[in-house]
Amino acid sequence: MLRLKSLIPLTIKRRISNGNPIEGFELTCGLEIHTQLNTTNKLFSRSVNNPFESISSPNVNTSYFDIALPGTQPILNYEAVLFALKLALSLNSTVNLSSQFDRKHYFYGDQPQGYQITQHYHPFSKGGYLRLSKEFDEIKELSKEIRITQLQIEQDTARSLYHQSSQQNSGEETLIDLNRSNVPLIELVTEPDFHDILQVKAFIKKYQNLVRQLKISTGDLEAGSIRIDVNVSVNEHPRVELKNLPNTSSIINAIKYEYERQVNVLKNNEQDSSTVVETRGWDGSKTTVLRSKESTMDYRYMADPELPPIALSSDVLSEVAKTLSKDADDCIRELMSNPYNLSKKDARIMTIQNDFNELYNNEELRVYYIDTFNAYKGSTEDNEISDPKIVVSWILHELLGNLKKLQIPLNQLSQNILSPKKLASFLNIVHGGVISNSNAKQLLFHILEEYKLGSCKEPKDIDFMILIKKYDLEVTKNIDYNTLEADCREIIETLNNPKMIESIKSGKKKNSIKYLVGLGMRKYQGKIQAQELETMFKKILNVK
Amino acid sequence: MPLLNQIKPFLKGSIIRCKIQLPSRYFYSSQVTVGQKFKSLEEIKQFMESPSWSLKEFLTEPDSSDNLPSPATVKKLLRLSGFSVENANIKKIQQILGKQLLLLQSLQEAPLDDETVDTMFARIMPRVPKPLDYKALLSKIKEQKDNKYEDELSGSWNSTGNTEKSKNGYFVVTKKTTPTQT
Repeated sequence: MLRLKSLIPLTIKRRISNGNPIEGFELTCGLEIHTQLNTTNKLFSRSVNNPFESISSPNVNTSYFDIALPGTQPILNYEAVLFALKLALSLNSTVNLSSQFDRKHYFYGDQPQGYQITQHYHPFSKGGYLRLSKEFDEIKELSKEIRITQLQIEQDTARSLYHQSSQQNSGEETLIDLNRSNVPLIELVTEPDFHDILQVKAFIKKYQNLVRQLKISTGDLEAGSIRIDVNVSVNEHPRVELKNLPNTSSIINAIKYEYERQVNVLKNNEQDSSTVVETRGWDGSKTTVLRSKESTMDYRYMADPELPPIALSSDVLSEVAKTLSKDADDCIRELMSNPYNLSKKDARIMTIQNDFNELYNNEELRVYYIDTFNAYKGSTEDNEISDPKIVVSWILHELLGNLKKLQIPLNQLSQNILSPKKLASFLNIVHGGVISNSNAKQLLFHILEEYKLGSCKEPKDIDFMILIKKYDLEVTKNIDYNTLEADCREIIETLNNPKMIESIKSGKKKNSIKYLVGLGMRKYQGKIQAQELETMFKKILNVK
Repeated sequence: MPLLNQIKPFLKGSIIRCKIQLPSRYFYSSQVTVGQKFKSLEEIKQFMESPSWSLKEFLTEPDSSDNLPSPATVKKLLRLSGFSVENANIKKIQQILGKQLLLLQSLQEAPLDDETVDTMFARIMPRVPKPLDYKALLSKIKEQKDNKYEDELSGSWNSTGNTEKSKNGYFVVTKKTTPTQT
């Protein structure tokens, strides 16, 4: 039995992973993406929009309108309109200056109104595209444009938890949490422009980055703030809509499975007039029919008589466009070129946000880096930077880590305590050898911690030299090399680890010398440059 | 009259019977007619306060009790609307609902011409609001964030308090399974 169990997942895995294109069978996909907007309030009421944090307190963020009490009316939250404008303009979509809301009728437990307010007849925007490239998005083609059909604003439904009732003779029970009800969504529909799974993967990643960059959504698939349905069709096979895809791997595996299934249908001539457009779900290993076109509901769309059209003047478009950040690919290119010469990895960190956080967005980080870089460069004697990596490594590895640990927003830090100019002056001191790297790291953390303890309110003018003197952190200028050698020999002796010493000497574990340097730094309380210790240990151990 | 204006897009092309009150007499018209110009605010007030048309004129009484919603339906609707079933005058509500259904039926049966109805205008709210500029959009957002009704404050009321069935703060929807007959 155990043996059989362990075989099943392997079979599934093999089947899913074999999703390579088969000659003569072209894959065509289109996406429908629902994105929850992180506005302060809900779409048609002013209840708090916080469906995730309130998950343990069901129905706490619900107004009379959200639970559809008779007599309540919708009032549009214009923050959702602003967010939709940002997204539409970033995707080069043409904004409809007079869009409207419509009612889509269906009867289900997660929608107590009996209809969803959406935009059917006059959506928010039409057209547009998102460009993918081989250089930045790992697709096979040099460049690929995925066209956008339209964007529409609509309400989310309630969260449903299904389970069997414990009471006898009772049927299935569904628990309904209306905290998610009426949360603003943007539905984005693409044209069927995807012909490769890599393109789908790249589009999703780029889209997630875009909404995080715009600060309009957390962009998480797993948590459900982005939900994606995929339309798949191979050659002339009728379109199949795939639903219930909770993460990128489910999306990719479901497409692979569906591709193979449709290829088999076509190869075996199983397709006939009865093969119709259908909706299928993904159960983790295969797609199964949810409904076919025959059972498609008539939603009886009608204009919502209680909501006026969203009428916008054209200046809104130009003003919102001014607030948008630069295209991500252009930013990466700029950072990889002179004078910054960053690696692609570091340039991407400065541009692409893998998770949403409140402390900074990538644009703020990039601006901070560029300003610090320029201030540092300007402060050197010949306007040149001998070690161009010093700025990026201090900002990405030290500063960001400290900010996350202490929960200090980057903008606040920049304004109140550590402006780019200030950080540049600190880096000058470090680079000038006044303080060792390890002590400099501790000093930076100490300064930020003190600032945090003061509740991050008061701007402070930091004088690094005074602090270095106050805490006696200055590197010893006149090193007595005889004493240094004696100290290093003592460290090796006290360590009493001949195996490690041998592996350093033989070159098998070169990096173990860092351990010795660490012990030395401790002995000298960081008041010596690590490089001096490393050179001395190498001399003693006769290592090059 | 305002109601008629609002439902006109739905009834486009159909004949609307209505009665317009003039100072001295009533008359019927098969079309909406614009009367004489009002001369004072008093005249407008008097006009607005006087009934000028009645639904009764083109809605006949339900011909039999078969066309009325059943007592069970009425009770279910009362419960769904959060009203008490006890002491409710079911017969009276049946009659009222019957009339409402007749109105809806009349609206549904109203013939429309072949012209495409522009859904943009099928609404009660202002149809052509003043377009928002950027500054107005931002101030609207700020204003909305600052003003909340009490029910919109988190946890300010117990939303499941009036429901018949709830569990740990959740509403409960039950899908009853019908036993298979043998």
